[in-house]
Amino acid sequence: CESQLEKVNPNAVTSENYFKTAAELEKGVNAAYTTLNGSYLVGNCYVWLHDLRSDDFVGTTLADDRGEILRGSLGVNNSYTERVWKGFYIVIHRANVVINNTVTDDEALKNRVVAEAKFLRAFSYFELASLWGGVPLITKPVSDFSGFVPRSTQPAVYEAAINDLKEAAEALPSTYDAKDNGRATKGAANALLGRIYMQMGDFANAKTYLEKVRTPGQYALTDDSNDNFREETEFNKESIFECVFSPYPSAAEDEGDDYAQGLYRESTNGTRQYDMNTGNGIVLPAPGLKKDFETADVRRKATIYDVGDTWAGGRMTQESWKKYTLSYKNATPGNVASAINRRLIRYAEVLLMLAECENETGSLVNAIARLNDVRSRTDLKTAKLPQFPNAAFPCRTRDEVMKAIMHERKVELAGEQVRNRDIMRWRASGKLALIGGDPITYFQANRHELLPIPQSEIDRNIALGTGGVPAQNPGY
Amino acid sequence: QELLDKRISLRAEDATLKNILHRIEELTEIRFTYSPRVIQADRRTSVSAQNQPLREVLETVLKPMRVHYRVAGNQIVLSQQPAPTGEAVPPANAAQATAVDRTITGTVKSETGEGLPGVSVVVKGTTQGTTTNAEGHFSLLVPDNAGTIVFSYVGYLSREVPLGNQSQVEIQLAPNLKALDEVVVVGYGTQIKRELTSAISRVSAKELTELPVAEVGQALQGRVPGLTVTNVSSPGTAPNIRIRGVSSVSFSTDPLYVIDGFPTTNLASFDNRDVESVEILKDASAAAIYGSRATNGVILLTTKKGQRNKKMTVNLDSYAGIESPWRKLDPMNTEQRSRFMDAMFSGANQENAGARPSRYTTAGMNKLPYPGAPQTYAQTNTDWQDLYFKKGFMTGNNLSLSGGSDQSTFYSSAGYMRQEGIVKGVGFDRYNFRVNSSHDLGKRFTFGQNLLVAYTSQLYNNSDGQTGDQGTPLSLLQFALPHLPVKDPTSNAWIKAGGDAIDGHPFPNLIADIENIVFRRNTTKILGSAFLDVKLFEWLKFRSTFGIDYANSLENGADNSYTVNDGNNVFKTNDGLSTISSNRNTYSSLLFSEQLTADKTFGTDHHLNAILVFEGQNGKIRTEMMSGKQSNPAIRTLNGATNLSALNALEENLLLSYVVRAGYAYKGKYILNASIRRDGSSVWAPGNKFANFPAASVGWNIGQESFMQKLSFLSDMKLRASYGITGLNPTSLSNYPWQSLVYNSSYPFNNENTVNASFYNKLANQNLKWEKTSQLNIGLDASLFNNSVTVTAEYFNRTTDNLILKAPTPPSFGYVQFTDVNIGKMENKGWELALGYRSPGKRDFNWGISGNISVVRNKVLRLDSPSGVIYGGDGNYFSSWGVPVTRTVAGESIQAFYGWDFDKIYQTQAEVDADNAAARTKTGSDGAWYQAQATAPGDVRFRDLNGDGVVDDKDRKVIGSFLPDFTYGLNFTASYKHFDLSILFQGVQGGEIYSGIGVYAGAFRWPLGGSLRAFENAWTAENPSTTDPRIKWSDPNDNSRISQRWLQDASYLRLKNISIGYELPADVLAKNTNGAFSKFRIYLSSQNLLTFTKYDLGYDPEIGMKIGSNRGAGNLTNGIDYGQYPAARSFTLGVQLGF
Repeated sequence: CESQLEKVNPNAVTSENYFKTAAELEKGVNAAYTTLNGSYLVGNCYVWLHDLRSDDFVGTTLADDRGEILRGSLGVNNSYTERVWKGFYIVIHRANVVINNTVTDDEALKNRVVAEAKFLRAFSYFELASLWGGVPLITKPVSDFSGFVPRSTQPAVYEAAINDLKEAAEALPSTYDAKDNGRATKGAANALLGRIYMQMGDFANAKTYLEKVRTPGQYALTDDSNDNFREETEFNKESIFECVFSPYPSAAEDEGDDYAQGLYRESTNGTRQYDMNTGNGIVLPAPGLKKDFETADVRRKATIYDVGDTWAGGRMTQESWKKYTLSYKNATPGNVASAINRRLIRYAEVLLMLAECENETGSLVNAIARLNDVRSRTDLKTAKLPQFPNAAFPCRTRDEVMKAIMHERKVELAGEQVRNRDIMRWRASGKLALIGGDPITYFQANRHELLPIPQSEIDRNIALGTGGVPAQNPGY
Repeated sequence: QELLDKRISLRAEDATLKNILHRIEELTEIRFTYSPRVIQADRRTSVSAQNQPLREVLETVLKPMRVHYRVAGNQIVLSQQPAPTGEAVPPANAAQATAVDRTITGTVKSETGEGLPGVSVVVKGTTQGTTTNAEGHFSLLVPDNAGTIVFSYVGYLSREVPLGNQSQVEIQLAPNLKALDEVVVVGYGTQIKRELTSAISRVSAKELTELPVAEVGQALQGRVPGLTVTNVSSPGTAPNIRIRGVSSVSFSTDPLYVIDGFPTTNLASFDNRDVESVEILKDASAAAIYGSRATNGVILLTTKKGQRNKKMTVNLDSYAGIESPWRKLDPMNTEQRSRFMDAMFSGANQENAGARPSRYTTAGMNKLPYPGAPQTYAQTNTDWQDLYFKKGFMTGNNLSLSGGSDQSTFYSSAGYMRQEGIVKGVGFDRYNFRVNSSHDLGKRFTFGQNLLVAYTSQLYNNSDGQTGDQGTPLSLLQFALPHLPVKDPTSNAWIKAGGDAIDGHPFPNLIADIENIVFRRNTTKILGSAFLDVKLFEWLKFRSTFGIDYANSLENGADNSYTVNDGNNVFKTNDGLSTISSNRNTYSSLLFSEQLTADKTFGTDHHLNAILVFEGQNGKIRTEMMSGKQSNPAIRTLNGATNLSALNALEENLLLSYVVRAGYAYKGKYILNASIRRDGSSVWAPGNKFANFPAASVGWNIGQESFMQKLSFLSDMKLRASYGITGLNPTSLSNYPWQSLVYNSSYPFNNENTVNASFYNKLANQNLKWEKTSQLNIGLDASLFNNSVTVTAEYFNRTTDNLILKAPTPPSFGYVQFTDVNIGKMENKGWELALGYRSPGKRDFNWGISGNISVVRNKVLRLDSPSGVIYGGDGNYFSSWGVPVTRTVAGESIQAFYGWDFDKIYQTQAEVDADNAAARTKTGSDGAWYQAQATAPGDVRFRDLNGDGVVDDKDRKVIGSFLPDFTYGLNFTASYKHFDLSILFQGVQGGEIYSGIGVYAGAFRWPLGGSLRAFENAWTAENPSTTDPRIKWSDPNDNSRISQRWLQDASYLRLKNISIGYELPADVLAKNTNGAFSKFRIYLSSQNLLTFTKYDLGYDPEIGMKIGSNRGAGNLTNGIDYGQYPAARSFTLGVQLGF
């Protein structure tokens, strides 16, 4: 009779009984991707955390915790920083589940999904370490309530990410069948290695891995800049790693408390897209950004709507963001979630990273060549955007080339979550003087370099300050 | 002597006189009054009568036995003829007597001074005697030399009175307490009240049915010390019931309900009028017999049963009445609101405010709300509060039949109740039937069954219990705009606010939502059990019980699309599609229980009793949820719906239990009880399934000691102490709480929609185990002055260990859900006192008063989560966007209100400047502000508690608690002749309410809220208020943050019930209805007629907790007024008929 007390839950399998086959591991890594497109990360908070810390955006009426980020007054309870922190650690947990389970039934599939998991884990650790400095480095699923982990140093976290990526780059395929569009590739791993090394100041290593991405035949620029920000032209030849959003109308914008919701859409669209019906423009392109574009630079029209420009609903009466908004095809007012995949890494950026690496460690000629590669995009050529060197950017010295690189990165990649990290990198290497000083007006040394560790982590992780790195970053 | 002419048929052979008399009683409704001993009722005789007058039958039977009879009213008084040779001598007729020595007359009275009829009065040492008449008088012829008369009566101590020369004897008999022993229902049986050693309170059927309420719990309010009942929502929703404080942080504190031995839920399906008695088991020794589920106390309900050898009685109990809200708030009317908008959008107030909403201009207000409207916006003055509240009809009816033969008994009833509620969109109906019966099968076997079938239908507001911007209907009511009409009668479009730029805010049309969003929950409940009793020996009985508990709850929702006119556009909500939902929740439970009961007295001094139980109860919970869209609002089902979604789940649990209890009483003075229950629950992980729940108690009937008997005022006194361990019902957690489940999800590779992802979200916890409460109880029961005064005092100390909390793991672990872990400890200690007085005797005027008071002090002793803090009660609008209202930490009471410390209102800029200057000095930062850059005169100054120069998150403190200092109840009953009166006061003293609804009505962060008083009290230069801050767009100083500003004293005293009744005298009734009616009582009563409270920021001071969630945030929200459905005031007229 007492054996009847063993009841099996008929509604779901438990964590002990799952992840025993390669196919189940593949589902495990897919779940890590699912976190990536949820609202904690690329579906919402991640985008704001990067873009609002750049000088690409203004938003006088931006309320709530996003306003704090924009104005540099964020504190330890800022919900956006907390959610991004949580989101990346959820990716890491799910990746850890895949990486640490042994299965033997399908070695090839297992190797690929473990490599994908390592890519996602490295992506997450790079984001965490570049934004917060040293963070807890957790490489196995935590199985004990007191399994607290203190902060590692920033270089140690970078190194762990680099190791993951090197292994991932070995095992990942260069391309997938179409049905797997959106998975991490060898190219994505190498490009990410380039990003990390650059952020560490190791331009030589960065160049090595970025050059692997430049191997002919793999990637190329699209003819039209807009193709990188539209739904119809996803997974194009320029795209190296995309965060995929669901085109299905029932897809959600939020995970919900239990995170069991399925498909997500991107929800920052409504805030970026000026609402012509109500007159609500919550964030707008910074006035300085508009001036940065050269007259012939058609990328401005891919980035910003000017007054009088045509959008799906008529003529714009107000300046507005265009990049990654639905306004090119959707005239519905208000907060419409978007299904446009976000290109987290695209080839134009790889070329610009290479230009910077060449300028730092290699030849100016190569640096200028990479810059001009970017300007060789068909629409820019057609518009006769001048190549470098030119009157505005003479490119005679490393500093002058650097100015050109800084300019080109800003106009090519505005509003694409790279500017924040560019400023951090250039600030650390003293290069911001080249563009007239720190573009972040509120910047205070010993505070704004890094984000605050979320209070919830400090409260609940009692080991946080015990590893030699203080629990909280300076200034908070 | 009509009585004696009644014709009866009777046949008995070799039957005792007692038996024959008893059968005559059944046949005729005549009562015989006699002393069995005096008339030697055990003598056997035979009788055979066929339609003979009673007189003849009595002559036949009684004459040979020399028993005399005499008619007194509806009674026949029997007495033994004084002398074997004498004639029958009617004592009242002494003049006819022969052989008179002398006549003694007198009166025998009970302890309460009432005349006692039927008392045997015998000359000691002879068979000469008589019995008292209906008034207690007697008259007896005694021989001259008679020395002593003996008075004896069942249930009373005999008395011997030496005669001497007196001819008049007035005596009083004292009750034989042992014989009057009351029996109290306890877990798995009954106990003699005198041998009870634990804290058990009893509520009688009369008290239970005094209030016209749907649920037993509501009827207990104010009746029992240590039991608090708090209204939480509209009709049909169970109130919040707590016995001796809050014993769990994470889980509901509902007690375990056991109906006729069957642990169950859904008490709203249950008719109060079927209840014979309610026993509340408060301490561990009483409750531990229910072991693993008894931490929150146990409420035993015993339903009515038929009685053996009783003619069938039929009772009809009906009432009907009206209920209405007892208080309304003070919303602004159109003109007042226009002035409010002037204040909001004028001068310095409107900085950052943007454009003034277009409606609040002369031109805007002079427009018509819809084409063809009879009045402009300015002329419209809708009182949304009046539209939302209403008077509600209520009625309750119960028809019951009961009776029994010498082998079978039955009780059956049918009931109907309806409560329409005091707001639109709620209501409750119940239909219920009950059959209880038992049958003797020979001498050793008894078979019986109890069966309840009930159907309830609850109309409820789906948004009740919600928080935030989409708050409860009552909180949203505070945002209603008086200048908007409700509806355009020509186009049937509902009028809605036009958004921030037009009306100041976009809040919905509450009435439209109620009319178009309809949720109803229909529940069918069957609760039945059958038992077989076997009498193995006189002292050893076996009972086998099998039962079924089935509840099927079907929730049908229709969220219909409707047409809206927001002043700019006319459109259909939800894109013209209705959302139809159909959710079913089925609970079925089987119970089997095998029970052996021994009860034996050895000699006269040793009373032993013991039980042994083995039982099992399972539970199956099946949930089905379906929803879809309908384009035609007339279709209320999912037939042909689009966007269908369906979910279902099945969960199971099982509880196996072994119980032993033994009790020993020595001379009825020294009592020892001990029990242990071993429970195994499927809910826990393997290895942790079983736990033991022991208890022991001792009692000393000190009043029986000889040294106490000298105290004549003391009727009885008992001291008792108990200690035991109980557990929290594990199914509160869920059925598989220790597991971590794998969930499915999707990632749209190549933009395709497939379910392709799996993950788990939390740490599994194999070590999870019962929350256990150990409780010490010390009690004193005393009765004084011939039992007219009763006192019960209790002290208790309960410690709950292994409190289960959702342990928040660090975000770096990557788990989204928190895991249940045993990490806390909490203490509740306090005392209870119940006092009662009942006027002695049965006179024209009788009265009684009883009161109770209880004090509980709560303290969290330990919280081992890393942060050691649990927050609760975070909503949106009323708590500054997600700032929690309550905090629970070790060393403090559970869920203390936690907020900023209101100091004063800044009256001058100099005060603000001084604070800012000090802030700069202290922080060393030139950019520092004491509170905010925008702080100005009229803003609230909060205290800088940590002294760092600025007011921020770290400057919060405990500002109050929902826990009262004490709770009390006072009940007064009186009767004068045929009138009766009952008054029940109930109250709570101390504690606070955090008024969320106050924030909704009067925070004025934006042009939201509607309290006229809050608007008029606001600080302005002309009105330098010291309590209410200025009105300022977006509240940059956050004046409306959590502080004492929204906290009010929760004390209240309430006239819970007053009831006046009149009962027709039995003889009048019999005469005028030819005996058709045996009872006719009519009464008028009112509930919540008067409420005395200082709380005026909401509709009612009786504030429970957020409903719809029995754990997590919902549990730590007691005392927050989210805009809760208030307790209503009602007037009812009732009638009780007996046939």
